[in-house]
Amino acid sequence: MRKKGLLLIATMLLSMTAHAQLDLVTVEITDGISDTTLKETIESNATILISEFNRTIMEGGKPKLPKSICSKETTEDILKMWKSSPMSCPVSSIKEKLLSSPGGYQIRNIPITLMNAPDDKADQDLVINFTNTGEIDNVMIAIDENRYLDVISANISVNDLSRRQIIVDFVENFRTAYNRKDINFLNSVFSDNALIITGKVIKVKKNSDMAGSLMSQEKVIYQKQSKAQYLENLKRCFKRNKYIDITFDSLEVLRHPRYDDIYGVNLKQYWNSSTYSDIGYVFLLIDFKDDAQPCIQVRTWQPEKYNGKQINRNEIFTLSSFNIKR
Amino acid sequence: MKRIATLAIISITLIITANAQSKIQAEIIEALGLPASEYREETLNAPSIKKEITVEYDKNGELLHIGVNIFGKRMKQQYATPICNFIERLLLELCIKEKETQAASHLNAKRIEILYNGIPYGKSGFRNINSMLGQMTDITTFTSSHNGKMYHAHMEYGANSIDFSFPASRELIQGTDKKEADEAIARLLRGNLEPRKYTKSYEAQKKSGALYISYSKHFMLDSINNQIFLEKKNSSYTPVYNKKYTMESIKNTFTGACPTNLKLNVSHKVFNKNLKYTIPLEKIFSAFEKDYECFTAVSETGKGQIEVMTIFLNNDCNYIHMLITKISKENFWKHGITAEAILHSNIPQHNIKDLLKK
Repeated sequence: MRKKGLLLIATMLLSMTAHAQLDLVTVEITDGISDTTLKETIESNATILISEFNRTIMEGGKPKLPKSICSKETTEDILKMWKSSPMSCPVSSIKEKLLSSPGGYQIRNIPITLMNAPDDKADQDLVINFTNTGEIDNVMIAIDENRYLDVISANISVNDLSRRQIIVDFVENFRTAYNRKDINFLNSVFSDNALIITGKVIKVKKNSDMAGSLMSQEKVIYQKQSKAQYLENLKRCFKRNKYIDITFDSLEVLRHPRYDDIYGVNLKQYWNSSTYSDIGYVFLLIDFKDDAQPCIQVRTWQPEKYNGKQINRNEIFTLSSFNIKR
Repeated sequence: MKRIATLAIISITLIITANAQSKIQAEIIEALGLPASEYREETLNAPSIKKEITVEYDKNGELLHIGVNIFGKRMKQQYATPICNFIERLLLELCIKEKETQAASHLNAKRIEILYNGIPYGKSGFRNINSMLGQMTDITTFTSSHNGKMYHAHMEYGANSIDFSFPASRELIQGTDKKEADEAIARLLRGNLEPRKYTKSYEAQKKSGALYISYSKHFMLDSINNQIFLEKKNSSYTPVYNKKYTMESIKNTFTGACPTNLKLNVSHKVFNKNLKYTIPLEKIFSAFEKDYECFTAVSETGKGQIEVMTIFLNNDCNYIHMLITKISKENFWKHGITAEAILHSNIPQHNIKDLLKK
């Protein structure tokens, strides 16, 4: 009987310990501070905070934060946040470096699960700010901090993306001009000094000593045209074809590393017309010096295949194929 | 109500507003031998086509759609109307092109595949679309989805099934090229539109300072999103709109969460033209409320000047309109102010491989 009682107590103790262990999250600072006492204070306060979050999720109610770890105002802020965003930490051990921040210190990258968020938004990172004396000053969800800052002062990549979308719009207008046989539009978008290179597949006869017979291979030769020559050929093409129907696919837009207003566009072109069809790769070098009137400085075309194989990726013209001098 | 309309029966008069219909619709009408007139009927029969033809027009009498009658109004409301209309128009086009043995080359050029009971078009068992349509009964199942690049649609009637695979391209689905589509948007924005009703309620995801932030999605970059800044009033959250939070108010306004009196001098970059008109910002949101998701990024460009990028994304046909607005923080709060804006419309997204390469 006594043994059974002891066993029961032991089991209860084990389950309580396990329960306690489930909500316990230890926070360890790996770098960023030399003051050992302050380091231990910050580690302890962060451990208490995160563990209390987990305990509250398991047992219900509101987080109970000791006065020693944060001020009354901070406690109120955390409780307000908890109302809309209760959270738990899915790991039992966190090791992060301590960062300096205005007014104190900061630990980032604390993984949390937002209990009320949709599945694809639930996993976030928590940021804890500390005062100079190691008290918790503020707690926020990292993605919101980044988004808030990004929203308030959108970084340069938004401007870059808008320019690239304008390029996609420009390229779509360019394609539409071919389909509408709008030679005037095409004349307006090509620079007068545009470099136009067209690849042509030719068959090369080759002697085979072994078989004593002739075998032919294909190779691509490149022909250069001026804007005037190209548009003249295009006019003839428009005249002899009842319809032109080209589509573009696999657009890639690259900005010149040195000149912000020079962009390279690589795309796959499907050319269909009443008399002819082909598939090839087109490269456009577009100059945005005049935002209102971008112009094409280079246009190249290469066949998709020759010798029965896809053209080698390294053969395809790109921005780095051209040396640009302003 | 069905009426028979043939070349011989000239009692029905039809007027089509030439500017509104697309080139594809005009070609179909010409191929069927229908005179240019005002359509009063919703369904009609053409002798060479084995399924009745559906015709739709808007309240101004402008032709919106012509195709074989497969889905019916209720089904189109339930599923994506643009896809249903595309399939109806495509099948009618193919019936016409079959007469000149051009249907297969048309499908090949457009990279469209059609399977009838698993048999590709042109193979034994599926050589004629017109005949297939002649035996088609009411659709019992229809599904469609796209992965950003390609659409797949599946329909069943009786024991039969038809599968479609086609590029998720606005031009292909809507049947209008860039010029036609841009001009349609310009007409829409300059026409009459119902004012919006602000009935949406918001849930706060997280607190940020004294405000709250809604759950949100982003477009390409995290900073281009439909996040709304909220303040708590009693037990609900409402979009913030006061001078204490100017940037947040601008963000909310340009994401369509707050009514505004702001007007825009829009420079609309349509195909080969730059149209200029002045419209209330509210009107842009009225025009795009139904079929588009809105995303915004707000940035300070210096000396109190703000630039706002607003993206209107049409998921069904995979394209965007992009509005770039410039305004000062001070002017945002003034009445009667007009801000400068540039609009690029109908920018395709389906054919992009990589837009953020460095």
